[in-house]
Formats: sequence, C-alpha cells, structure tokens
Amino acid sequence: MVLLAALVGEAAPARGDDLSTRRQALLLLRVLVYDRNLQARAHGAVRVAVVFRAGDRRSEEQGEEMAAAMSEVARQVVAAGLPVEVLRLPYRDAADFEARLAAAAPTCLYVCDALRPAVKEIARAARQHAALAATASREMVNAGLALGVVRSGLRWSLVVNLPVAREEGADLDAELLEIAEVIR
Amino acid sequence: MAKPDSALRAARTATFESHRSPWRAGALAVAAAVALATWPATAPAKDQDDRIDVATLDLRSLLDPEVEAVGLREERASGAAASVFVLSAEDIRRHGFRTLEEALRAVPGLFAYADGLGPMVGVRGLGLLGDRSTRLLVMVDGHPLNDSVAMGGSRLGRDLPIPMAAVRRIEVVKGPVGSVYGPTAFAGAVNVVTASASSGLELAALGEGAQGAARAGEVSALGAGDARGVEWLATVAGYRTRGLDWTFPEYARASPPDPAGGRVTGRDAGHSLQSYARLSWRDLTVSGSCGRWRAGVASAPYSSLLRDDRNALEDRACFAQAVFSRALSPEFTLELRGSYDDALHQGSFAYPPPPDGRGTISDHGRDRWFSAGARATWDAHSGTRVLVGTDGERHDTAQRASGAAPGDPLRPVGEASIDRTFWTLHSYLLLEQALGSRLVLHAGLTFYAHELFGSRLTPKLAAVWRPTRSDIVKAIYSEGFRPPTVSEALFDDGATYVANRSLRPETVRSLELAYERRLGSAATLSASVFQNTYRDLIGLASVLPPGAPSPEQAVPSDFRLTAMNLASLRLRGGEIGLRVSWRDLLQGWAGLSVQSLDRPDQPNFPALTGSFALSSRALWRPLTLSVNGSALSARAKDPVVSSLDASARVGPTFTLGALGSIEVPGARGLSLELGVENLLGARRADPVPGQFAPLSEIDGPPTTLRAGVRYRY
Repeated sequence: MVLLAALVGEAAPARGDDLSTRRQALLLLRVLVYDRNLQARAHGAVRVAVVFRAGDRRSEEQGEEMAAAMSEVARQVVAAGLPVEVLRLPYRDAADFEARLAAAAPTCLYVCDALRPAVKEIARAARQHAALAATASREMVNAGLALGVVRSGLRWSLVVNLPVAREEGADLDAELLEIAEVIR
Repeated sequence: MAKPDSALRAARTATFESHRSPWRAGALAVAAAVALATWPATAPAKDQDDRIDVATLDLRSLLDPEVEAVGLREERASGAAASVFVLSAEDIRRHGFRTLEEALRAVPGLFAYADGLGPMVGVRGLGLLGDRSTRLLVMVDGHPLNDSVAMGGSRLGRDLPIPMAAVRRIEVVKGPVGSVYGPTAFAGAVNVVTASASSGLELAALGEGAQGAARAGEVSALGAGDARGVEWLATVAGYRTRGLDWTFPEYARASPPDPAGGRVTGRDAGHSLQSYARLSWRDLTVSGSCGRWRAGVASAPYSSLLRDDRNALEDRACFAQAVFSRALSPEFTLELRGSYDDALHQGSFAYPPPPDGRGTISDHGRDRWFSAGARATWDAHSGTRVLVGTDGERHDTAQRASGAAPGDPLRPVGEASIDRTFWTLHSYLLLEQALGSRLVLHAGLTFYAHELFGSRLTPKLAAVWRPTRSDIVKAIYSEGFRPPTVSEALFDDGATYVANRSLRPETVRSLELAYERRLGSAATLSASVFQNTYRDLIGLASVLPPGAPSPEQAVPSDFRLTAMNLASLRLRGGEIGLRVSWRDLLQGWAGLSVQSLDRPDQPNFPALTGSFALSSRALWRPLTLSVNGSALSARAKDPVVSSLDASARVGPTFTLGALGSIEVPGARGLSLELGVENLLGARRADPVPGQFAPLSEIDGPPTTLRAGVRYRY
C-alpha cells in the first residue's frame, strides 16, 4: 500500500485529477510488462509516445498532462528492468504521423481522446511499427486500438482488443487477460 | 534542481490565458498550483538501481481505489485518518474465504466468535456476547445494512444479501467511526466494495465435507457487460447445508441430564439465496440486493427443547439504492443517494405443549426504511478539503411474539408488541487541511438525532504526518456512540425478554497512535497503540418481571432477560502487523494485537488476538498455495452461566486453514481448488450469553474439507 502511495502521489495536497493521471500512467506501464515480447520490442528502453491532435488546444493539454504524469512516474520506476522514456507525438495527418512514428520508434502509444476520428489511421501505423496503442477511451478500443485503461467513477478497468494487440506485436500474458475485459 | 516542465508550462499557460476564460484559467492555475505543490514528489531521477520495477506491483491493487470508508472518498489507506485494513478480491480468492466472517477473521485486530445463532466479529478485544453486529457497521458500497430492530442477522455470514462473488474489496476500519457514520460504527466499520463490470461470466461450484460425510454445497454465477453505455453486473449464489453433528456435554451434566449425552445431529441444516445487481449509466448507479437465510438451531437456547426441528431462524434482507454523483467543477462534487431497505428476522423455538409448557413461540421482527442523503465535497486550491453531508431515514419497525398457546403465567405470549415509526437524521462535516507537503490535519463532527433516543454530537481529530517517503505517523482521537436498539429498549415477548425504556446510549472515546513503515518495495510494517474508554455498555441481565414471585420464591423459569447499561470499561492495547508482497514468491500479512482491560473478567474479552494469511505461487505459476490462521487467548464466560460449571473460561484457540488452487493448463479460465478448514482439528469454543443456559460455551466447526471448481469466461 505504501509503495503504491509513494508512486501514485505524496501526502501533499495533490488533487484528484493529478493523482488520477499518474495512476493511469502507472497502470499503463504495469500492463506493458504483461507483454511477453516487451524486451524484444523495446530495444533497451520502454518508449511511451503520448499522441495528441496538433492544433487542438484541449488535446494538446491532455497530452501535456499525460506526458508530465508519465515522466513523473518514469523517474521512479523501471518496466521489467528497462528504463522508461516519454515523448510527445503530434498527429496532423496519417502520412505525417507515420513518418514521425517511424523516426521515434516507440514501444507504446498513448492516444488522447480527441483523436477518435483518426483511430483507424493510428492503429494502422501502430501495426506497421509494432507499437502497442493504448487509450483512456473504451470506444476507441472498440474502434481498433489495442488497450484501454478506462476510468468509470472511482473504479479503473482494463480493456484489451486481443486481435489488435497481437497484430501490434504484443503477446499478452493470460494473467492480464483474466483481469481485463477482452475483445476477441 | 530544475522544476518540472509541466508545472512551468501550466503556470505559464494560466497567465497567458487568464484574459480569455477566467473559468479555464482558474482550472489551469489549479493545475499549476497542484504541480508545484507536489514538487517534493518530483524529485530528480533516481539511479536506475533505486527505481521500483512496475512488474512487482499488484495490478489488481492498482486498478482499485484503495479505501473509501474512512473519509467517504477515494484515498490511500496509508494516508487515511484511521487504522484501515483492505482485503482485495485476490486475497479472498487465494484464501478461499466464503463468508464475510471468514474474511474478517483473518484481519489483524479482529476476532470472530459465534453463539449458535450466527457469527459475530469483535474489534480490538471488544466482542460483546449476543452483539449481532450492532456495534460493527456493515456496508455495501457505502450503503449500511444494519437494521434498527437488531434482533437477528449479523450480515456477516450467509445472511449477507450479496454473494461473495460480487466482492471486489473489503475495507475494514478499526476503531470508532462515529464522526463519519453515526451510531452503528461504534467498534468499527466494514465496507464491502462490489466488483467492477468487466464483461464476462464466472461460474463456481463449491462443496464441503466434514465428519466423514458431504455437508454443504454452493453454486454461484456472475455476469457483467456493457451495452450502449450502460454497465451492468448481476450475480446470484445459492447455498445448502445438511448441518453438522454436535455434542453439548453440558446438557449431559445438566439437571435433569440429557439422556442422549447432548448429541445433536443435523439440526442446523439450512439454506441461503443471495443476489445482487447493478446498472451504471454516466453519473447514475442503481443497485439492488436480496438475500434469504434459514437454518435450524442445534443448541436449543432460551430453554427450548433440544433436538427439535422447530428451533429455527430465518433472515431476509433486501435493499435498492440509486446514487447520482457528479463533478460540477474541478473543485466541487455533489452526490445524491436514495434507498429503500427491508430487513426481516423470524425465530421459532419449541417448548413442551400447554398446559405444562409454552408450545412453539415465534419472534418476528421487521424494519423497513427509506433513506435519502446528499453529500458535497469541495477541494480548495490550498490543500483544504471540505466534505459536508446529511442523511435522513424513516423507519417502520414491527416486532412481536406469538405462540401456539399462552403458556406464560405472568404475561401471555403475544400481548406485548412493538409497532414504531421513527426518523433519524445524520449530518456530518469532515475537514482536511494540508500543512506543507508532509502533514495533513483532519477534523470531523457528526450530529445524529434519533426520534426515540435523542441526539448527540460526535467529534474526531486526526493528524497524518509523513516524515519521509517510507514513514507515516497517525495520531487519532475519535468518539463513537450507540443508542439502544429497538429490541433492547422496547422488546417484550412475554416469554424471555422484558423491555427497558430507560436505557442510555453507549459511548466510546478512542485515542490511537499509529506508525507505518515501508521496508523496501516488498513489505510494510505497521504498529499502533490505542486506548478506548467505553461508558454505559449495554448488555443482557436476568431479572424478575413485574408480578413475579419474590426472588426467594422464584424458580429459574420466572426470570427474564432485559437490556441494561452494565459496564464502563477502559481498554488499552497495541497492535503490530506486517504486509508482504514479494512477486509470486510470497503474498500476505500477519498481525498480533495485545490488549488489557480494567475489568479482565469481562466475558469474551481476549487479551491477545493474532492472525495471518500467506500465499505463494513460487512452485509453479498456475498453482497457488495458501495458508491462514487465527489465534485467540482464553476468554471469560458469562458469569450467569459459568457459575453452573466448574470452568469460568474458554481456553485459547488456534485454527489453521489451507487451500491449493490451480489454473488448469490448456483450459483457459478453468480453475480447481481444494482446501481444509480447521486443519489441525483444534477445539475452538466460544462463550455464550445466559439465554443459552445450561450451555456456557459452544464449539466451532470441526475439520472441514472444501473443494471447488471455477470457470471464468
């Protein structure tokens, strides 16, 4: 309990939303470790790219908040022995995004909510570059992203789109699939 | 040391944007303030060797909010202003706990006891005989299950209306929580948090065998899903037992002696049905539950006939509630609740037929109540949190006794009954103020008013100090009170009970100092010392009713039971615990609680309680092996009945359970389990109150073999 407390936040007057984003970041990293191909896909470091819609202020803020929370957590943890690196990746259009993705070579994408209309393009790029695409939206997992870290009220749940996760190169452990809601 | 980019960016954005949208600028300013306020957490990167590997963290714990019961909001157990213990669904599954009482027995500082009418749980040495959970608040997702009549079910055994399959987490608050919940949280509170609606189906079939025969079976099903934005969860469980073979040596020694040596076979056969369903749509959650438990009573209390199938109890409890919770702004959250509860208890006991006896006497108690409440939370920018709320309840209670024939020479059965309608009002204010990054002060005040038993203010003060990342110190002052139950004050069945309308509420004042230290990334050590001062504790006493012969001329059957303010006690103690989570190698906890009482002859008071629960998947990952145990020191018996027997105490007890479960390779979702309760066959006797005379103690269950199969899709 104390360990989780230390990672999720201090006893300082941190607000609920701040804690919530950090918890989401920690959950995402924890889930990545269930990928039996993580070592092979990571190439020495787990790189998490936070994808936001360029020019959409709300999406940029969400991406910024998530990247900050992820960086905060990344300072304190490793994932299956690998250091965690965080970068921000703007989405303008499919071609630009694919080029950026190829250059950044992330292990995992965290896709912000405003990119719902571009899910198919992002999923296709994620497949090509073996990056596991995650989101906070259940609908976006249904639409083709691999992993959802979804909050409903006070509760968190995981949604795994198993065929998509496999296409993106992940081999997820059965223990995770027991806990998560699985789309087969 | 550079400040975090996020804080600087947020602060900059707040400044530049403030002229466009004050509302949004305010939110951004809050984000900036928070980021800066949490600056101590944003320490420079550690060396990689010092970092924690996320692989060591328990995913299920991460998915859960850690505790809601202390401050009526999600918070970390370590930072909560109380001594809290949390059992996860994984803990329950690993150890095969099948009832709430079994799970609570494993919690350090708690101890379970029973009197043949139902299980009860004591907290830190306080476990009054015949308590029926009137001092331990039992909730489902914050909804209280305890009724005002309180003549029957404890909601800790099979009479809990929700199936254990629906439980995601059990939060246990040790010590009075009157400043949050009002009267019933006198000794502590237990909040059962239900499972989230992850799509899927879970089926389970479980069986029990003891004394060389199959004894009980249980089946349960749970389904959950999401349709058009509506999350749903439904679960149902059925249980049936043939009962056990019991021997009550004290009946054989009674006068006149029982010719069969006190042997009773299968008279506690019973069955239960539990159900729970929940629908969630956006900010609205609607849930409901119904449970029924009926069982025979083997021990023949109230001088009823031994080995008679008419000795039986039945409990029914149903509730439905709707909760609407919405964050109206980043700082302000509003929650509205409305619910309806219906709790019914019936008991029947057999006596010789008239004119020599009373025939069959039935007690009937029912409490139906509507409740409505509102709660608002305000998170101010400066580390201040204010929570204010109020709940009102309107109760309709009925209690009566009926008999085949009026056999009581003093007062005919069924003449006196209770039909009362009354209201209660419970308003509370909880304040939190962070002073710097290390210290948080808590204050709480509750106003509780009962139409029949008056009103009371209950305060609480606490400080939570985190001197280092690994250490937490809590200082807690809390109070609790408990008005008499309707049964205690008003019940008069003309056969066994006499009303006492002059009862005063019980009170408790509690002081506690707690310390918690993280030992590396795999263990947490906790220790606390506490002092509880109880006043006017209510217990049952034997009296002669009006119209009875003088004490010199009275015979034992002339005496009746009545509730009285019997005792004021001061209890001092300490508790130490260790919780371990070391990958698959070892998971679990152990704890020891030692307490002393200024009146050590208090019945059922244990000077020492201990418990542990450990599990491992080290041998083979699909195989989980677990072991759990609980220990109790010797306890005094009720002096009313122990005077009939040479022994004034029940001996120390130690019970051990073990369970092995395996996820069948190649059959995804299928698991098998095999376990033993009371592995060592230890005798575990609990003292019983005077109405069980000539019995002064009752044994716990014998060694029981358990097997089960579960399938998750």
